[in-house]
Amino acid sequence: MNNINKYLKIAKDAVIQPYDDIDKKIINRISNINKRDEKLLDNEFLDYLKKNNSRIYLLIEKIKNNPAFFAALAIAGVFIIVFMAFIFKIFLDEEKIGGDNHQLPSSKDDTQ
Amino acid sequence: MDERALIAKSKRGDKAAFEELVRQFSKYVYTTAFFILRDTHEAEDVSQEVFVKVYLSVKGFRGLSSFKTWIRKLTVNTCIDKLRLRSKTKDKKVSLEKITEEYEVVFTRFDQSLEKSFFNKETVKEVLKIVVSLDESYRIPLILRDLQDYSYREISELTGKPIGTVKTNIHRARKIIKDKLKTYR
Repeated sequence: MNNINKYLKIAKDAVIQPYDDIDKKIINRISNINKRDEKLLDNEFLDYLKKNNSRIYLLIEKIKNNPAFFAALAIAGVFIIVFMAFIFKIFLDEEKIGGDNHQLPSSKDDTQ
Repeated sequence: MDERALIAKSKRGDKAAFEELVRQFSKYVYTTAFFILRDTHEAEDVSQEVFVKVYLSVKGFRGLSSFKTWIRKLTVNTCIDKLRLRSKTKDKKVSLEKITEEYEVVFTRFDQSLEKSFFNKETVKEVLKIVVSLDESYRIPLILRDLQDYSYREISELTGKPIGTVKTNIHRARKIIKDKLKTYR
C-alpha cells in the first residue's frame, strides 16, 4: 500500500492536457460576461466567499480537521503552564527559606 | 510575476493580470474537474464557470487562504453540484461510457527522482487511469483525500456519507488500485 501512496503523491503534480486551448476559451468567456453569468454568484457561492474571508471560520475548520493535533497542543499547553507554576512555586519557596535564613543570624546579632 | 501580485492587480481590475492567473491555474482546475466528472466537455464547462466566478468576486478575496486552496474548493464544490444534478437527470451507465475517452497526462513539477525513472512516471499514469475508472463512491473520496488533501470530515460533509464509510471506501479504492496494478504488470 505504501507504493500506492507514493504514486498518488506524485499524481498530485500531474495535470490533464486539454485537447482545446482551455486558456483561450476561459479568457474569451470572461471577456464576454453577461447578466446570466452574474447569477453564478448565488447565495451558496457568496456564503462560501464569506466563510473564506473569516479568520474565525478558517481557524475552527483547521481545528475540526485536526482535532487530535489541537487536543495534543492544548494538553501540552496545560502541562507547560502547570510546570511553570511548579517552578515558580519552588522559586518562591526557596526565596522564602533564603529570607528566613538571612533573618536568623541578624536575630542572633540582636541578642548579643 | 508571483501569485499575490497578480491577485492584487486583478483586484484593481487589471485584466492582463487575471489572464495570467487563468494561464497558471486553468489546467489544475480542468484536471480536478475531469477526475471528478470523467467528462472532457463538462470539465471545460466547470473550468469556465469557476473562472467566471473568480473573476466576478476576486475583489472580495481577502487572501486568508492561498489562491490555489480557494480555487480548488470552488472547483470541487462546483463539480459535486454537477454530480448531484447529473445523478438526478442522467442515467449512470451513459456517464460510465465516457471513461474510455483518451487523455494525456503531463507532469507539472520537474522531479529528478521521477525523471530518472520512466517506470515511475508510467505507473503514475496507470494509477490515474485506474482512479478515473473507479466507481463514483470510491473515486470521489479517494480523489478528495489523496489528490486534493481534504480531511475525512470535509469529504463526509461533501458526499453526505458517514466518516466511517468514507474511510472504508478510500481504503477499498486504494486496494483496488493495488490489485489492478498487479494485473497490469
